[in-house]
Amino acid sequence: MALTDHVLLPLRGLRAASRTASVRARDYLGSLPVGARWGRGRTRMEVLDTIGDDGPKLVRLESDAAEALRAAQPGLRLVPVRYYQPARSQFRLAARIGRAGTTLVPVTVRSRTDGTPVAGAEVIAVVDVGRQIGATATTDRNGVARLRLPVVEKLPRLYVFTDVGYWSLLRRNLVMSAALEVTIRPFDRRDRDGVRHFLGHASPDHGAGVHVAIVDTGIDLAHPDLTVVGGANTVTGEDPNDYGDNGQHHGTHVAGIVAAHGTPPSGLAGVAPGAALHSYRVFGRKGTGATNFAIAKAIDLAVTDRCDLINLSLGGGDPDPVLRAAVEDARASGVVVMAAAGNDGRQPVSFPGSEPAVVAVSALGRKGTYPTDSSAVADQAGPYGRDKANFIAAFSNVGAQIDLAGPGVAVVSTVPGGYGEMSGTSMACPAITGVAARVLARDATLLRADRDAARSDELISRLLQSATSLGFPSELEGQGLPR
Amino acid sequence: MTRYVLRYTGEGPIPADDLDQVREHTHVVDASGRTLLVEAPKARVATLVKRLSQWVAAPETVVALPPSRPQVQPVAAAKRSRRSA
Repeated sequence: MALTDHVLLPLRGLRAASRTASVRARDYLGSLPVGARWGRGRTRMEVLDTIGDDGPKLVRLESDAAEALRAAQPGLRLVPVRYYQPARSQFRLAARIGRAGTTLVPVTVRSRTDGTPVAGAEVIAVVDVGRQIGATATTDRNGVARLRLPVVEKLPRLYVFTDVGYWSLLRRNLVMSAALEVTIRPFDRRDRDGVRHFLGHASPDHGAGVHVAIVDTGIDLAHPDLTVVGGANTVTGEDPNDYGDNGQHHGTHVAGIVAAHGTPPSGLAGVAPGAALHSYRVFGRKGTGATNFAIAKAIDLAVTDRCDLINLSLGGGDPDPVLRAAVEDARASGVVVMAAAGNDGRQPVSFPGSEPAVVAVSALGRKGTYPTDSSAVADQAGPYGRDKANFIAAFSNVGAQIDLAGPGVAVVSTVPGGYGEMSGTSMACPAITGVAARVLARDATLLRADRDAARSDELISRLLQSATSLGFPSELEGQGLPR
Repeated sequence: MTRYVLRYTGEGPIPADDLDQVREHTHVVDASGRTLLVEAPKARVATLVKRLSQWVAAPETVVALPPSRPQVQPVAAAKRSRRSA
């Protein structure tokens, strides 16, 4: 016997409205109070939750109960519960390709400099680019990942990603053999990535006196290039003082873009190394998504803690009056909220970046700031800027709400244990947050001004005025790149 | 019970009377400044917010991290979309 969770809802639509559901289905759905239980053994069923009286019911039931319910209520359907994970920086390849007509292909990943095997690298083979079907595996201590692939002459795409230390790799139309071997290039701290190209190397006092809130997955408190002066964990039910990195690395990477204070070549400097970092962790320890409550709480705490800037490298979903009120309150309290535009591929700007009170940032890239065999090559897309090496990333959301563009393709920054490459408007946003910190630090009067809407407006005005168009349509770059 | 996030949008701190009413009609799970996470039936939250004019409410929602690497579609989903086409 196995109890499984399902959502019980009308055949059409979410709610049992008269237009879409029969009287029988409507009456039955409306008669199920939360907590109600029926049957015994294989016919057990329990109502766990509901979305309104006429809405879907979350039910836990045995297989026999499911069959009986389907027979008794043909106007309703049972949909197995699905669990969504954070859309994090793993190339999630789908496809457990069926075993028939397939072969197990070992792929060895080595360092390009000395040939040593690279353990823990994620290898993704795409056999159908249009439908994004393929296989994925992680390299073992010998640098070998074993992928079950169909027998093909050429592999359309093979990606390799590591968490720490190497540029990503994209090989196209790789000739197949019984075993494959690829090499990946380690970072050289002297590499000039997009952030360093567009915004230059920072001096240690850039951003001095400015406090920046990173509302994210937490920041690695032990990284030598990062100093976190405060923060909180706002995930309901977790330790409020546990605001270190939750294992997803995203917040640590974002924080480093803003205010890493290492010295190249052994370390790495962010855009505003003098700024003080505050970590507000809104993503759970188990990789759970961030709730609107946790984000609103983090924004409120950042305001209370007298942060000057709040970085939101997150977003999505429908506009939310609570988060809207939180960002509006922050702005009215002299604190400027910056948000990523979203990575849905030229789709409308995600909420809360779409809010007028928020500064929304799209992702800018430049050819030559990453290896020619980097996965970032796939992010290149027209229209190109006045300088034909510049582009707005193919993944970036765009629209009239875009205020500014920031470097967000193949950005090297801090991760637990070293340095890693990530791409996204999540990276573009903190780059511009760093620029805002520079702008604010340059004016002691504004930095010390009363914390009110006028202060926020003035900082945003100066940030926008500092921007230069790179020759893209305004819905792609807003006012352009600030400096 | 569905969770909702309530936020006070008026001037100053949350009025004590408002807070009492929220506590009376909902189960407060978490609180922070002007924001409360509560459990209550939808209708009760709607009535409460209608009565407390300087409050807004939204169901508790979850956002995922924006992807910073390419995404792929699972095979099963691809098959489903082919069938429905």
